[in-house]
Amino acid sequence: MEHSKHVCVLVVLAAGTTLGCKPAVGQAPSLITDYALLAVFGEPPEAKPGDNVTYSYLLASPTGTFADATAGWDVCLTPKPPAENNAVASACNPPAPGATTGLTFDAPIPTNACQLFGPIAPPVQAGQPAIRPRDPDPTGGYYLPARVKLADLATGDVTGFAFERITCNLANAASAIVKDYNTRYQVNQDPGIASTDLITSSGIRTNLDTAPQTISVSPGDTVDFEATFTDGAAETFPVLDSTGDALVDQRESLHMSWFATSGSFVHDRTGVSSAETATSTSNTWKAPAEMMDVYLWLVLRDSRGGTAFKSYQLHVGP
Amino acid sequence: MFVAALASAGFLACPGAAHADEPVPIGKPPTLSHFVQAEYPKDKHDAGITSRVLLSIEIGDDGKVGGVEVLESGGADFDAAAVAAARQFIFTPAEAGGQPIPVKITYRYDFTIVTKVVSLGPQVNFEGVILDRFKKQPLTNVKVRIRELDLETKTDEEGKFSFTDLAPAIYKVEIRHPTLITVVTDETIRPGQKRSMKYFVERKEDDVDEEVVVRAARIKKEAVETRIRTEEARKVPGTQGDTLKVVQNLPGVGRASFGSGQLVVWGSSPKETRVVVEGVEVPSLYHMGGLRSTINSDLVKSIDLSPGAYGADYGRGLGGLVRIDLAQIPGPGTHGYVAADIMDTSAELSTAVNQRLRFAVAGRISYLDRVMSAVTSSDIGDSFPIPRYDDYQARASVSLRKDEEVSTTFLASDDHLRRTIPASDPEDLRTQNNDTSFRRVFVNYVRLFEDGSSIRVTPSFGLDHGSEHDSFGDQGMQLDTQTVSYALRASLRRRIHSSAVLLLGMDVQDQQNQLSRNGSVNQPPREGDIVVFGQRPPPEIATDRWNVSVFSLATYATVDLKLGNWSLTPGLRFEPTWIEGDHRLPYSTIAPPIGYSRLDAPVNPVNVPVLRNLPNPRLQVAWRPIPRLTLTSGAGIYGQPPSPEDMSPVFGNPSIVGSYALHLTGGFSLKVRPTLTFESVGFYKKLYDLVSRSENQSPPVGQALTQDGTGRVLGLQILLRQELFKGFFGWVTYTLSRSERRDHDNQGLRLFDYDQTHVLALLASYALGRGFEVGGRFRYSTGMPRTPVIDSYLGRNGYYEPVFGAHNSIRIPAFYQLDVRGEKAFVMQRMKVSAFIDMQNITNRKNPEEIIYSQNYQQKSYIIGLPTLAVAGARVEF
Repeated sequence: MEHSKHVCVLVVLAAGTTLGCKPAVGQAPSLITDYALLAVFGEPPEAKPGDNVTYSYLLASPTGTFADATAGWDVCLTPKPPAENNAVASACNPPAPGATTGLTFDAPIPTNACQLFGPIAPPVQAGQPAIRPRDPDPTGGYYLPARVKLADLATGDVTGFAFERITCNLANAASAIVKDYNTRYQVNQDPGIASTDLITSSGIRTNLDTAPQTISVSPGDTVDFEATFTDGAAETFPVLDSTGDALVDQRESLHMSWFATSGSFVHDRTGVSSAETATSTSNTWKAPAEMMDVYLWLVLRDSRGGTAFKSYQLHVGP
Repeated sequence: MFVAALASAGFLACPGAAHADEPVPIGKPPTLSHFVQAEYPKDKHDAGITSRVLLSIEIGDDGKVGGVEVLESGGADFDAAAVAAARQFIFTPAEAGGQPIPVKITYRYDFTIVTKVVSLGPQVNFEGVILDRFKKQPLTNVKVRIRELDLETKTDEEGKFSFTDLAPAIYKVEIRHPTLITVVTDETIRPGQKRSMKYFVERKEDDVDEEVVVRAARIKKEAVETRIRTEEARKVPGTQGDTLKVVQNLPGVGRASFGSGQLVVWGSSPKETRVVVEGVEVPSLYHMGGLRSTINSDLVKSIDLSPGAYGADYGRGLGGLVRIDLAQIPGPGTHGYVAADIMDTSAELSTAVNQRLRFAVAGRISYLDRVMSAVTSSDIGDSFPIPRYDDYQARASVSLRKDEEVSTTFLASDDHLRRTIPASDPEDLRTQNNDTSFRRVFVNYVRLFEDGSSIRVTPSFGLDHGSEHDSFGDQGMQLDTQTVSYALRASLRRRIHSSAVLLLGMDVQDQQNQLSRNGSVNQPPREGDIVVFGQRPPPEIATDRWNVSVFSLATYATVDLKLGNWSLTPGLRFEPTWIEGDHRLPYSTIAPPIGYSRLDAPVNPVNVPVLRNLPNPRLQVAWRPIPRLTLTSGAGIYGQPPSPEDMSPVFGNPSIVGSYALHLTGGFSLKVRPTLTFESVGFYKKLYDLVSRSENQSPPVGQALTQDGTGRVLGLQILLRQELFKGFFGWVTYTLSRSERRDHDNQGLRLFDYDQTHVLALLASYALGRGFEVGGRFRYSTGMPRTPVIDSYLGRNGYYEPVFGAHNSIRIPAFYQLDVRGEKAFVMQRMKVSAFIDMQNITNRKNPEEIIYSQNYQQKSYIIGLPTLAVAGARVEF
């Protein structure tokens, strides 16, 4: 199903002609034509060392959500070397043998997680240099990677990681700032998708969550989807500024990934930046030309690692 | 002119008519006491006809001529002339018995034409004019010496000289001037002929004393060096008339990665190659994207590229050396140009106030970004970011006295890149705001002496600024740098022996660096990072502000030795560097920052302690077994101080010291024809103490970078070059090389990120006449190594992340491209107008420039380079 398209622009210059091509590789990520791991997430999305976390995954297939995969789970305790560009250490992939299986996976946050993955420098032996603590992400967060490997799928194994936000104390900050931070900081809560509306080209709006039956869309029609966030989906939290001298409030950004088993979205992802206060996000979808049932998934993430999702079924036909 | 020759054939005494039949014995024959020249018949004289008339002359006893008869005719007009003249003769009469007597004699009058040599004073029989080889301008005050006669003269204001009354012989003629390459040539002076010569001589490179024979290969100072004159470089296709862009097509230079304009010389990192203008280091040769050079071409006299193993007078770099010499400000009068094409407009103006004082200003401003945005969709910048740039320069030179000059130069360059790639999800929004600039002011004092000695002093001041602010969604990267630099170069060059010239020099550089950085430690990527194009940066961010002072006091000494056909230039360079920083550990709320200070000097890679700490040796050797063949070899140890950017306790390592390298070269240069040269050079470089990222999962504080990297480069370069001859010039260059790095002792060698096994370039330009010139350029290069993606997984925020295979184990497909150029020049009184069109990628080949992947890394494709692109422009010179 691979396709490669080139968006070409013709540039006519006074002195000549040039043609610049901007390549787009592979099929759109929003198009589900095979097993596709859409999300791996922990619940709660943020926890202190020692707290228990339940991890689960969302696996899409052309016939809807697939929950019967053979899933191997574990938590990778190898910190990422600073030299590596990925979000997790290369040593965390592939998963270790003998991992726990199941649709979900319960595991506590290691008690030394803030040393392994956080701002607390690990203890060192006498005479040895101090270890560099980990750097936070732009929200001031540190994350424990939990991995899942879905095996025995017809198209091969699929691997994904959940990034569980660890609640760690502020490091390298004045005590007054630490105290202020501890007072103001609220652990992250998952965002939510309150409802999703389908809006036809004629402006007819239908709530997919409350619709009594499967909604039909004419083949080839273009419709809009509007997903409304739950109240407080974008939380505000304090972050130590780059100088380390003050706390600044930051609002979560929200990011929606759109998936469908057929048709095409204009955007694979939409979102709301931390500077925006929008309570919903929209996308446009063109139905396939053929009659069929189409499955939709909407995965909402906040910038601190919280995740929510919804799935729907549409009928493309008369 | 003719002379009538008198010849007396004999005489007969005629005592009197009465006694004609009775000869009388002659006691004393008559002698001609008054000769009258016969008038040569003009038509016969002009026709070159000679004749002879035999006369019978009766001489009376009073000595006067009586009758004259023609005995043998020479022709009627000759006869008449001879008789008329003879009648006016007066003789001392013949005598017999002591008494005068009349006699009759026979007299032969010869009409002959003879060349009479008339001395009109001293005669010039050897003269000539001496011109600059490339500018064809007359050179004044050049000494011309006839060695065998120890005769010497100097050229006048028109570059002319002459010698008088040289005896016929073969002479050795020596042409010498402190600023010129000394030339010795054989000249043959033939009897009665004047020899007129026109000599084209070349200006001397800095600190080079060479003696060459005309039409023989010039012995080079550097073991490997390519010099291109601006006159040639401007006509190279693909450079859009930009002289300095020709460096990208010189032997040993790899093809720059797409849109970077970086110089990859002999498998070295771009940051390891130094660019100096009149000895003053500048941070970049090209504007962003490599679109243009940062220095106006019309101010440039020549570009020299030494890819390695260069002399002791330069250092602080493990890679190559690009030396740019600025041209003398032309005079007399006012000159300049204005040029424009679709990329930018530039202009230059120079004036000679008088014989001693000259000024020049130049500038350039770009508008390609505005042109592109006006005629195309806005997302063209997604794939081809187009920077906005400008540069400007000013020069003034004062001739203090003969061969003593002070010049002041100001160089400025600015680059700005603004790019926003919008996205429906703010997490995918990308912005890029990059600004770089540099300023240089330097004074160049040069004093040349009659014996070839010289003094040069160049103090300079510089200000560099860099600002790189990028964002990828919420993840930002910011790097701000500001460097204030002071430098002083001073050298004394003195001939200490007829075959030895000593060069002593000092090269001081002080850099005060202020840096500020925010973002991931891995952004921006550095050589050796495993990353794919367009990959999201790691989510972690850090921040730091740090100040680093790097003071380097280098001293050097070289000796140019000429031993017969051998030329040796041993040298030593001692380059201690004082490094100071304001904090050794990351800022902390519980402890004040502690600075550091240390002395570092490049060591020699030998295991002998004494030798290890001695100054770094350099050696260039040239041997010319026959005049057309020169064998060269070079070697040296080169040091490079640590980069201030690497010395952050958060992002780098404040304790890193300089890296160093060993260079070895060997090759030959064969002068196939007077302007056709074939060169081949093999090279080997070993690199030590390279900086690389720590492989430690949990590195100690302040050690995100380590310094146990090594590297090696092995290669061969070939150059076949036709210099400008009858309107044609061109070259073919091919470089075969392999450049490898080992980041840590426990790791194997990997390919260098910029490694290119094969690099081929063919260039040619030909003047068709009537102002038309055409040219072409073909380039081929192996694609650069990349690390393959073999799998992927779902990572943070729903983005896939790549799983990499072996480091740098695949390559981007090979690049090849054909460019053509046409130019037409019109000369209109005092102006020269030229228009050109530079067609790049004339075959519209889709050259892969970079590997890109689908979002889940399951499909691979390529970013394709520029298609056929026409750049047209015009230039007006006056």
